[in-house]
Amino acid sequence: MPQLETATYLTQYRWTLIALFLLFSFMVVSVLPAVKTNFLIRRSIGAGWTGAPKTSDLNKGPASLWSWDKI
Amino acid sequence: MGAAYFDQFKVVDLIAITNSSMMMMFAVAVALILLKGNRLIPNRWQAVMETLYDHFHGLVKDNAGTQYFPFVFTLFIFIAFLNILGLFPYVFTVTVHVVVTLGLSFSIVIGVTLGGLWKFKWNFLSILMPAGAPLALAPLLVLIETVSYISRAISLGVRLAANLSAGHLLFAILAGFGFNMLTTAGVLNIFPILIMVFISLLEAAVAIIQAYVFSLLTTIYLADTIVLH
Repeated sequence: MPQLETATYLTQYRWTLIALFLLFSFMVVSVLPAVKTNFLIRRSIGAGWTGAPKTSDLNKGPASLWSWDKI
Repeated sequence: MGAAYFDQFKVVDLIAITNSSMMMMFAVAVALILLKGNRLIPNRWQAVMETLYDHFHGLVKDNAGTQYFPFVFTLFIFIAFLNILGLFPYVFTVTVHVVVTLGLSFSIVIGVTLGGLWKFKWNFLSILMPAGAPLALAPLLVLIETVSYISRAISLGVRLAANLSAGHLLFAILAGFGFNMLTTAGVLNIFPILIMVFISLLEAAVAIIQAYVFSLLTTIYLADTIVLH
């Protein structure tokens, strides 16, 4: 079984970490904030709803957007 | 003969990097391209991704804290794309290798342990003793709970790798069988093809479900760093 070849273990683990970290950084920097901002914009358009965010919320940074607990 | 079915799992050196690492980079690239979308009115694919986002956000918020959401979502996207891209012919499936899945699951469980110890100090060890159990049973219970805590890491990784390996072996065996039956003419040769179609659908479902199970269990384990038992 090629799964049990220990010679490939270190490189595979290293590349797993590299790929996951790469994906994670791109997600955190660009993908997730875009989706979140879209949600917020759509909700701010729905008028009359008490939980709707103010437009100033849209300018917040990505980290504070995630910790915002409403959505 | 028997070993030929396992050839699909072989890690070989391609141009400078191995097929495994090439597949991982490819999955990351495909995931990032498909996740790109900032239309205010989403098209179909963006709607799928936003549904996933919404679902995982709710899931992580209910089970752990929202600070783990980016990690869990990334983990799901990574494993799901590796599994799905691995279903195509002539490509390598990264997640059939136990070292990848066990590497991820052990890293997660070690991270949970460190995070719990960091937050709760020695009180984190109360995870090894269920609340309300009689004290006389403590020596036995602590032993059992320790084993179950450690086996989390093993079961999380082995589940993913074993499911994917079994699926891909089934593909190889049934495809060989079906091709043999096709070449020998007859009315019955429609059945192996039908079975192949069914198995392909099943494996596509397994690919997504296993990725979901992996990230769901990760979320549940991460909850131990938030709430004390």
